[in-house]
Amino acid sequence: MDILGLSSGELGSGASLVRDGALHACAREERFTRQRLDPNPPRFAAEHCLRQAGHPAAGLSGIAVAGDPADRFTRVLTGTLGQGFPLMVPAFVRSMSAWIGHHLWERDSLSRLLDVDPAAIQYRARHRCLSAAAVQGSGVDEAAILVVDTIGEWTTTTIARWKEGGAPEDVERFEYPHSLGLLSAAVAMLLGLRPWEGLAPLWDLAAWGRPTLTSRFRRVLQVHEDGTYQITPGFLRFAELFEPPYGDPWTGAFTDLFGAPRDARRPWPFRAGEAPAVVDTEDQRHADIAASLQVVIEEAMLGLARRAKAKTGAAHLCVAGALAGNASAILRLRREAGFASVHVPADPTGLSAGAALLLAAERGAPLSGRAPQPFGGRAWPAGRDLAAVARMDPMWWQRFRRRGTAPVRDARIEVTPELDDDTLLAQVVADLAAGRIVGWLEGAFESGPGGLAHRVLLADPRDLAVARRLTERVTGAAAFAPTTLLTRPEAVAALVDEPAPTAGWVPLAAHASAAARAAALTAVHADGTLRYLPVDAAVAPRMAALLDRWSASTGAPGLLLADLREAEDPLAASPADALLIFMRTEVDTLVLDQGLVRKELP
Amino acid sequence: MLLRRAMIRLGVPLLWRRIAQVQAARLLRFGITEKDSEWQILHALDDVDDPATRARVLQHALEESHHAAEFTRVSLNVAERLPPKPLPPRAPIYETGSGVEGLAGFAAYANVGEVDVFEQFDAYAAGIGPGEARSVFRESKLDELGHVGLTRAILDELVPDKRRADWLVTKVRLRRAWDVWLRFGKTLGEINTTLVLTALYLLAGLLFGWPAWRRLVGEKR
Repeated sequence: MDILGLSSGELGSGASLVRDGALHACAREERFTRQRLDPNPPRFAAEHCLRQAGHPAAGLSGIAVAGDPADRFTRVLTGTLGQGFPLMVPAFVRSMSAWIGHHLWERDSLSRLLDVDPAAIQYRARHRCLSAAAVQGSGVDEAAILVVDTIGEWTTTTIARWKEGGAPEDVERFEYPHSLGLLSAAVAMLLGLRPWEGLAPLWDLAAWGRPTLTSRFRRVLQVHEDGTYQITPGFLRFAELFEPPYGDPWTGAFTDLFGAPRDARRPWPFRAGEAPAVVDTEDQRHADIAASLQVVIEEAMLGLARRAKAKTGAAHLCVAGALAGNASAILRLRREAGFASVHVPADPTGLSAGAALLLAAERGAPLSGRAPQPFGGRAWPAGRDLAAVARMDPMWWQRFRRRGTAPVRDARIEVTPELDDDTLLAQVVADLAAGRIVGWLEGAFESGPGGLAHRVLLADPRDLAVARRLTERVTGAAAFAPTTLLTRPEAVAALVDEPAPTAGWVPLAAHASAAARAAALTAVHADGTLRYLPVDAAVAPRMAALLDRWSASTGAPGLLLADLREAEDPLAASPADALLIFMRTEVDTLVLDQGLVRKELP
Repeated sequence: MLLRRAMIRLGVPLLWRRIAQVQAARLLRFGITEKDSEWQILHALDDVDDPATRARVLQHALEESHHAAEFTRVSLNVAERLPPKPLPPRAPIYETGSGVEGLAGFAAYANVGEVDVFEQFDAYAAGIGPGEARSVFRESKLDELGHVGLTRAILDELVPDKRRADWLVTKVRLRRAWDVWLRFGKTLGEINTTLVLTALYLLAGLLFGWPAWRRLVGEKR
C-alpha cells in the first residue's frame, strides 16, 4: 500500500511516500528548487517520491495533504477582520489575493500536477499530521504527544495520546491567536530576523542574554498553574503573518514594552566559542529580549508537558512542531517534565510524512515508533561533475569566492575521480587536521531540514580560527549560533552530563562536561550546553568510519558539523550544488561520493 | 526595451534614491531573478553529459550564483528592515528529457533573457548614484554580456542552421513580448482586486468585525 503525503506553507513544502506504513521516500521541495523554505506546491518532491514508488500517481492507494483549506480560510477571515480593524487592510488584501489566486484551487492544481481525480486527494488537519510525524524514531509503543507550532488551521498547540498500531488521538487543543510559535516569530522580526527562518537564531541568541524582561513577557504570554496559556489581546496582530510580504505583527503596546525593531543591518557582537567583547547596551537589550522570551516559552512548554502527562498518564513524550527545535526547552522538558524519555523526531515539522503516515494508519497500516531512513531524498551520480570541474580554469573560479578573499596566483583545483575508502578517509583526516574545511556529499540527501551525514561541512572542533572561517566564509550563519559536534555514540558519555536516550537521527543538546569544554571548544554554546549528533554506523557507515579514524588520529571526540549550504540557500542537493558552494566559499576539500576535489593554494 | 529603460531612468530618481526600502526590495528581486537563472541552468544541466559543455555551463551557473549572492548581500545593507523575500514557484524553461530540441529552445530563451538583463543592469548602473549597488550592476552587466555570447555559441552548436537558430530567438522574443503584455494585464487586475478587496474589507469589517473579535478573544485556549 503506497500513500503519498504532500504539504506546503510557510515552513516549506514537501512530499513523502509511505509504503506499508513505513516511510519509503521523503524530500523537501527546497532541495529541488533551491529556494529555502519554498512554500509552493511540491511538484519536484512529488516527482521524486513517485520515481521511488516506481509507478504514477494513479497507482497510489491514497494521497493525503496536510492542512484543511476550509478551516484555514475561516481562520484567515476571522483573524484579519477580528484583529486591528480597520488597520488590517493590507493583511486582508494580501491574504484574500493569495486565497483567490491559488489556495482556493489547491485541490485542482494538485490533481493536475499528479494527473489524478480531485476526489482522490484527501485533506488531514495539520496538527494531526504533526502528531503522526512526532512518534517516528521514538522507539516506544505508547506516548503522549505535544505539538507546539506556529499555526495550523485554527490549532496552534495540541496534546495527544498514541498507542502503537493506531493513529494519534487528540486530547486537547489550543487555538489561534494563542500561539507560542507566532509569538516567537513576532519577536524574531522585532530583532531584525525573518519570521520563520529566524526562529532557530532567536533561540541561539537567547544564551547570550539575561532574562531581565520576563515580567514584561508575562504580560503578553500568561502561563497558568494548570499548564494552559494565553496570549493577552492588544499586543500582537498575528494576521500580519498570514501571507508574505509580512507586515509588523505587533501593536504600539508591544513596542512600548520591548522598544522599536532592531536595525537588521546591525551586526551582533556575540561569537560562538568566544567570550563576548564589549557589548553595546542596545545589543545587550536585544539579546535580553531573546533570553526573556526563552524563559517564558520554556515555562509554557513545561506546563504543557506536565499537563500532557496528567491527561494521558503516558511514560514517554514525543514533541513536534516548530518549537520542537528549541533545544534548551527540550532539555528542560527532559529534566523536569516527569517523562521517562522525551523524543523529538529528525524532522519535527515533517508535515508531508505525517499526512501520509496518518492516512496509512487510518487504512490499517500500523503507525510505529521505529526510526525512519534519514536519507530519503534523491541521489545523483557525481562522475559527470568531477569530469567537468577538472576542465575549469582555476584562476576563473577564484573571482567568485566570497568578498574579501583575494585571488591567489598558482592556485589550482586537484580532482581525483575515484578513490577507495581507505585512501579517501586518510586524506580527509589529514586535511581536517591541517585546518581545512571539508564538504561531504554522499548518496541521497537528508529527508529532514538539516544535514546529518550526507550533505555536511566538517571541521576540527578544537580550532577556533577554522570554526570562525566556517561561519564567516562558508555558511554565513549567525556568528552567535553554536555548531553541532558530530560524534560516535560511545563518545557521548564523556562529553555531556546527562546523555539523552535517542532512537533516531536527531541533533541533541545537553550540558557539556569539563572534558567536552576542553576538547570541543567551539561546539560548546554560551549557556554551557553542547549540541551533538551521534552517528549510527549501521545507517552511515562511511561517516562512522571517518569519525573513528579522526578520533584515533587526533584524540578529538568528534567533528564540527554544519549544513552543506550557504546562508540564504537550502541544503545542497546535487553534486553541482556542492561544487558551486565549494568554488564560491572557503571550503577547501570536497568529497563527492568516491571522488575528491581539493583546492591547492600556495 | 526602450520603454523599460525610460521607466527605469524616470523611476530611479523618484523612488530608488529616496526610499531605502524600495531599493532593498528591488535589489533582492534582482538577486532572486539571478538565482532563478542559476536554477534554470542547473535544471537543464541534468540532461547534459559532455564534460566540456558541463564545465562551460557550470561556469555560467557560478556567475549567476555570484550575482544572486551579491545582489542579496547589497540588498541587506540598504535598509533598516529586511526586504520582503518573494519565493515564486519554479517554472522550468527546459523540461527534463526533451532532448536537443528542448536544449536549443532553452539556449535561445537564455540568450534573449541575457540581452534583456544586460539592458536593465546597464540602465540601473547609469541611473543610480555611486555606491555598492552601482558597482554590482556594473560588474554584473559585463558578465551578462559574456553570457549573451556564450548562450548564442551553445545555440549555434545545437542548431548549426543559422536561419533556424535566428528563428528560435525571434520566437522567444515574441513570446516574451506577449508575457510583458500579460504581466501588464495582471498588474491592472491586481490594482482592481486591491480596490475591490479594500471595499469588501471595510464592509465585512463593519458587519462581522465584532463577532470575529469576540471569537478570537473569547477563545481562552
